[in-house]
Amino acid sequence: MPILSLNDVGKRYPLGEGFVDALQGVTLDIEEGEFLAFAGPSGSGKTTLLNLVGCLDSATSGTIQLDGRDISKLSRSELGDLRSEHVGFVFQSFNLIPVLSAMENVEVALRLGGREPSKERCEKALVDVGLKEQLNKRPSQMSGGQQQRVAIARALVKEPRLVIADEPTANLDSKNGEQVLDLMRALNEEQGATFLFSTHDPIVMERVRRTVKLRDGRVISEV
Amino acid sequence: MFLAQLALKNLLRNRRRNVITSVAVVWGVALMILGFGFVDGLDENVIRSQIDTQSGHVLLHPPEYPEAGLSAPVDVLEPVPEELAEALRDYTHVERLRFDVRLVSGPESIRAVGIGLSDSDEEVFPREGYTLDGSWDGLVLGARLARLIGASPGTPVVLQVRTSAGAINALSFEVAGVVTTRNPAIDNYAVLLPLDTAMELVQAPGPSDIALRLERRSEAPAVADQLGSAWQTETYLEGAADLLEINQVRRRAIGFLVFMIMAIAATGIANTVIMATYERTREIGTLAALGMKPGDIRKLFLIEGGTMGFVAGVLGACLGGALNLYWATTGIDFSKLAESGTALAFDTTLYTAFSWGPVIAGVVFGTGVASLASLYPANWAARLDPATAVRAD
Repeated sequence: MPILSLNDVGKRYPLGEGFVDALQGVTLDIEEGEFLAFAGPSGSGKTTLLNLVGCLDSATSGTIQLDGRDISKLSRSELGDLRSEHVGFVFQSFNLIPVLSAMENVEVALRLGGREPSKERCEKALVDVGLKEQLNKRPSQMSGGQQQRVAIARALVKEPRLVIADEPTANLDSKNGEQVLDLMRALNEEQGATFLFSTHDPIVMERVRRTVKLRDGRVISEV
Repeated sequence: MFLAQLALKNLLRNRRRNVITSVAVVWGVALMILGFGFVDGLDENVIRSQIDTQSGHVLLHPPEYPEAGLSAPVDVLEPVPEELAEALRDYTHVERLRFDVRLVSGPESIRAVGIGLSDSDEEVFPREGYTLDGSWDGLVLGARLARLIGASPGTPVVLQVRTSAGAINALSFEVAGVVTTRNPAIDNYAVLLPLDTAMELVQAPGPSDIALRLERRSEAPAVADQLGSAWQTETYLEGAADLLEINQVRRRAIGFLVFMIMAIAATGIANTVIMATYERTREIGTLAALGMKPGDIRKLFLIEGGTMGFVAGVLGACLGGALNLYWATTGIDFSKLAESGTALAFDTTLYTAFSWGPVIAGVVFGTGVASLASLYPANWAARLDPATAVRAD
């Protein structure tokens, strides 16, 4: 059974007097453990699709099943519970909490998931991403690549079923971008979490196992 | 606990901005404690002066005696009725005779208030804290009055009065003493002399005042009611009503001033928390994406605003409380005010009223105002759409 199953999913946003269809008729199955990218130009619907499968937003039409459970009609609070339990996020701008150290940023994910933050577990998550020496540093004391590694550790520490990575290499140079991707690929293979990217970075598309191309809110091809 | 820790760390981000925002709360709370301590102290000052120098706890006048006014008429005086004298035996009381007098010393003369005192006057009107130059045996002048007319112990003076029958009478005296009481009503205007001498001078058929000292202030209304059938009675509160009413106006003015300062403080805190929510929109989105509930996001900003108010409230309470305690101990010297010639009865050394209640209330007030001011931005933050907020610039 696929971990994610999208059936004729649409998302419509109000725009002025009318509306815009950000996604139309998206039907897609994603298997557990996939390392998949949604690719396409700006405005193609990549981010909207990630928002829907990451439980940050609700679809206007169609159904989305996460692990066999229909999430398309869940309330904001129910989506929040699902996110904290099953979904990890890696953002383009890292989105770390600047007043917290690397360790504390990782701990936040566990706390908000309703779990007692274990120091050993958080430390291991940071060591796994190569930040053994940076545990107590704040984001402002780290490079972009290091910050993105903290974000990856934060996403993975709660052992989510799904990791949503929204253009994770967009703010990194090519060397750091490749390192971050290699790290995520290794963690995907080791831990089995499903990674979903949105990107138009060729380096990302080279490394994923499957690319779903979008244009004007529709799936136009799968590679 | 986690929310509190995060809120504290967030508060330390913009220390200068938060400190500047909190200053208004500090001043508002300090002013509240000091202002109300001042007015409460003034209330107590007026009441104590009224009791200790003017009326005792209950004051009785003859039936036709005017209720208010600066003059002390003697044509309405009458002997104390037997039944009243009988009833008064159960209470510590003294008789006094007030009368208008012209004090003449050489070429100088001045209007004053004569007060005839019985030998037991101190039983109702204690003289602790008075400074006497000379002796109580004879004519004693208030210090400023003596200075104005150039009199000191041994100086010959003449008292000119209108008798109860309307005739003019005068007697020569030698000043026995000059008293400083810190009460302008006495220091500025009083000519004190033995009651029998005063009765003879004015040819009064009876006293103008009978003043009672009770065990407790709270007994005054009941005793006044009980004694009130033959002569007019008033409690110390009725005697000081005008000054206490003025204090009520002061209290309202201070309350309004505190309200205005706290309104400005609340606006500043609301503005600071709004700026924080705008600056941290992406963080709010991230926390929401990680699973933080809208209620917890609301709490986070309420804790931040409330903590700012609490810290500022504590500082304001320390500042206001310390100054209030200092002035409650050492007093504030208002003797210059007495130099203006006022006839009001109050102690020119004002002790502010200190108690822990207003200090604690100040902290609670500061915290409450800041928390309320944070409510709108906290609600705004809690309602943010995480999908949009997480990618905010």
